Amino acid sequence: MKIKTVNEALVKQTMNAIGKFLAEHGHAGVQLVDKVGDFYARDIRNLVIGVVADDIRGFGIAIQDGKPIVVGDDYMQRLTIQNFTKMFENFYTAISMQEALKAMGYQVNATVLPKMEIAVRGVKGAGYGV
Amino acid sequence: MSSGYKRIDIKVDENGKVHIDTSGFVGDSCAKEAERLVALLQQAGLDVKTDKLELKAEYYAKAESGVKVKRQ
Repeated sequence: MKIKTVNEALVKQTMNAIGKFLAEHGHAGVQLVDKVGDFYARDIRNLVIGVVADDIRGFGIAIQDGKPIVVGDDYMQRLTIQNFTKMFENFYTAISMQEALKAMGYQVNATVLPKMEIAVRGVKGAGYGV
Repeated sequence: MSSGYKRIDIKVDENGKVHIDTSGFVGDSCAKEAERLVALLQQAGLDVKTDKLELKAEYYAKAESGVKVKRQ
């Protein structure tokens, strides 16, 4: 993972955005949760936040040695842990970018593109429109 | 005179690489803004390294302040 240290507030913001994205893209019953199980249905320790849906048994972000790791159970699931990891990394990066731009005085907006690409635009100055 | 309008377009690609394009900056103000952005991203815990830097024509342009200073 390209995220070296955990910013828990950003992790939660990211999972909230992922939850909305999943709900808008064909996953029913999406919920953010504080417990996620592993393959053996044992609760995963040090979970920051998780997400479940009717067709997602549970993925989440836990902290191990101060670093974030993606956890969960993707056995026989449409969304694999590899795909979820990529989604989390890209959303986390984009949200970090948005927060950084806001701190620098920009007005920002973001769009999720096909293939899990994310475009972020920040503008400031006279006569702008995001 | 410059309008002061500045824009930063960022794309996080499918492999997680970040592409940044800026406009409205004159001279090295763009590089300074990029440094601030990188510092904030590192604070957020991201591992940020610059792979490739392409300078646009604006980098070589001189700033227009619109203000003249008279020396006495």
